[in-house]
Amino acid sequence: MMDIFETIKKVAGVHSPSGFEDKVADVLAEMAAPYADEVYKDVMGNLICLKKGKEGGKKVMVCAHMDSIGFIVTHIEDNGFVRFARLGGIGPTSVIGTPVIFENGTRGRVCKEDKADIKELKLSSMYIDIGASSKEEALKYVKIADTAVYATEAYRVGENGIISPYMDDRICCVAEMMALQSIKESENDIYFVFSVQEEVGGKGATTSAYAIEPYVGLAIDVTRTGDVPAAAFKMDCDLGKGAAVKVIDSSLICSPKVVDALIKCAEANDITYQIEVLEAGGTDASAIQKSRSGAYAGGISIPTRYIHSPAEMVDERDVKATAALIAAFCAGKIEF
Amino acid sequence: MLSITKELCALNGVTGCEDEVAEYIINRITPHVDEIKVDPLGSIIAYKKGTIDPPEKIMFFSHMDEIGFIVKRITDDGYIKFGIVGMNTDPRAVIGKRVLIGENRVPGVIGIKAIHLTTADERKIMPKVQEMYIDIGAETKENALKLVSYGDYIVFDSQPEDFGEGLIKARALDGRAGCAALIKLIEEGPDVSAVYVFAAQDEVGFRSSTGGGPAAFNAEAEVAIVVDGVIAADLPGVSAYDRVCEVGKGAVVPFMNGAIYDKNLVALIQRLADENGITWQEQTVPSPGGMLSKTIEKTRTGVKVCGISVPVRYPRTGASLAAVSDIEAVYDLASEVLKTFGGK
Repeated sequence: MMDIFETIKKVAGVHSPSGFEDKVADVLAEMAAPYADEVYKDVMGNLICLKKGKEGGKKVMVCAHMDSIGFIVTHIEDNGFVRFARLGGIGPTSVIGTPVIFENGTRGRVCKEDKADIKELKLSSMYIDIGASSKEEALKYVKIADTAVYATEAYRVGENGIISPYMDDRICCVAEMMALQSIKESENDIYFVFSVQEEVGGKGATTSAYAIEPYVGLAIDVTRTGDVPAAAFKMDCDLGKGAAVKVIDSSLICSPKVVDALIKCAEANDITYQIEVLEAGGTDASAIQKSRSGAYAGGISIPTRYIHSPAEMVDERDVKATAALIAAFCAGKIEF
Repeated sequence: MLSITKELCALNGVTGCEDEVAEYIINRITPHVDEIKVDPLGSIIAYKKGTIDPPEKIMFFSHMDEIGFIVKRITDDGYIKFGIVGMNTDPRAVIGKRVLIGENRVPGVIGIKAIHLTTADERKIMPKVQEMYIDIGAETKENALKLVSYGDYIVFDSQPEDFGEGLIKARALDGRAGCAALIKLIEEGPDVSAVYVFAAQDEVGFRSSTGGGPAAFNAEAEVAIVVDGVIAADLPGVSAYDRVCEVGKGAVVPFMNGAIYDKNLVALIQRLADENGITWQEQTVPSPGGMLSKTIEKTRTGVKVCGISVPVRYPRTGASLAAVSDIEAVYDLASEVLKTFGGK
């Protein structure tokens, strides 16, 4: 059995923001290789691991995105400060003071201009300080279009908690990998997809679903929780209460057939689950649903606190439940 | 290059009504290509077979359409109420402008409530298109209807001209400069097989390019080079990193623009520019537009996308400015890319 903490530490620590996922794809490919019948990358860079099933089964696509949000250099000022744009949903206020690291190991800190109003803070009033005192010096370490990611650490908290950057969505990559490794025999051809560029608009899922033509597709992603003080959205989805079976998010209404089948599957296999009705946030499931002439689509989510911040929190038990539900559903007979 | 650009910018091609532009392009490229398709939305997809077939099928992608207006309603006293056709059109840039309506090019002027009738508060708010009207000098609705019809397309009354030091002033420059580069590539470019797309209906669509998507689906290539205009904000008081790019400083080679570009292609284009002494610049704001790239990238099983852009000051207005040398640099660079794909 995979050590969840050690694995997320390794996978979340790989430098692979949206559009530049090659490195994490290589790490995941190596983990999948002994267990999958085929492992390949497509034009967009999606990693696809096929686990073949019995004759007459369905095509199932299960998709966790492997890109992370991040920063990209747009301009270097004469005094050595680095201006940046975002790759994916970086919120200006949630990254003030965050340590970041570039692909070549250069470290820095995200700063806001001293006079910038925090209420109306925009990324254009922010910069990364890499400790360089001139443009010339800065250019020795970074250049235009170089990318940076959060340089925060993974650590354990409480009984079952883990904090790490990029739980979104590397923890789901881990769960998907656990599912792949646990499946001995499958009724269906299962395409384990580790998609690219979800954070910038579900792009990898769009093209991989077109190529795979699944009968049913699941997005495995993180979801918000309602269990924090004064949560912005009332939501009965809590850390530690099991795998979340998605009913809707802001990008899709899941197929009721998929939702019912997931619930039945969880109950039959004694897997702890809860229902997810997510008001804010989209997933790869919508891209799968709309591919070609349509596919049955749904999602299993891992409840996660502080999504898109440099320190996101999950409960290890939910990760295990999610992995178990993915495996049981995908390898079992699809009755619709 | 200048003459093709000027000829293209003289034509009317508001989104959804690109016929004049399409006809010009088809007439011009037919003798040089092997097959031309016009898809149901009006995009042109042209195949040119060369003596070399690149290992990856490559397409050059431009768009023909321009922003404009459409006749929605005519008031009893003969004024024309209109809608904007095209995204990101700044209502401030249309007030008081002369326009031409419909195929007969009926002249009109865009008016707004007289200043002495406005309150101090009203003058602080950006006027809405709903408050504006086009005056064609008709006295009644009946008279107006003799000259224009509901649904007539409207363009800025602006003809291309040489401007200042090596610049061109025209409307529709951002898309047509790209079309011009592609036409020249077809007529005089390297003898390497490629697909050339002149998309219709790019300027509409909230999340994707309405015409660009189907055109890319039809063209079915593995690599796309988007040749389009990009906003240049090289204006007084704008800091270096907010400028996006500068007119006259060469072809723009973005690392992302709507899509995160394929990093190997970006590196290749920048290297080719350096090796061939073609002036180029970075794009300092990654995605001020980029609808085409965003759409093409997700087509079918995915397309590797990158771009070469022409810096355009005041795009989507009646008077955009671009440097002829920049358009030439974009052509030169696109030509080098195609040559390289053919194995040189």
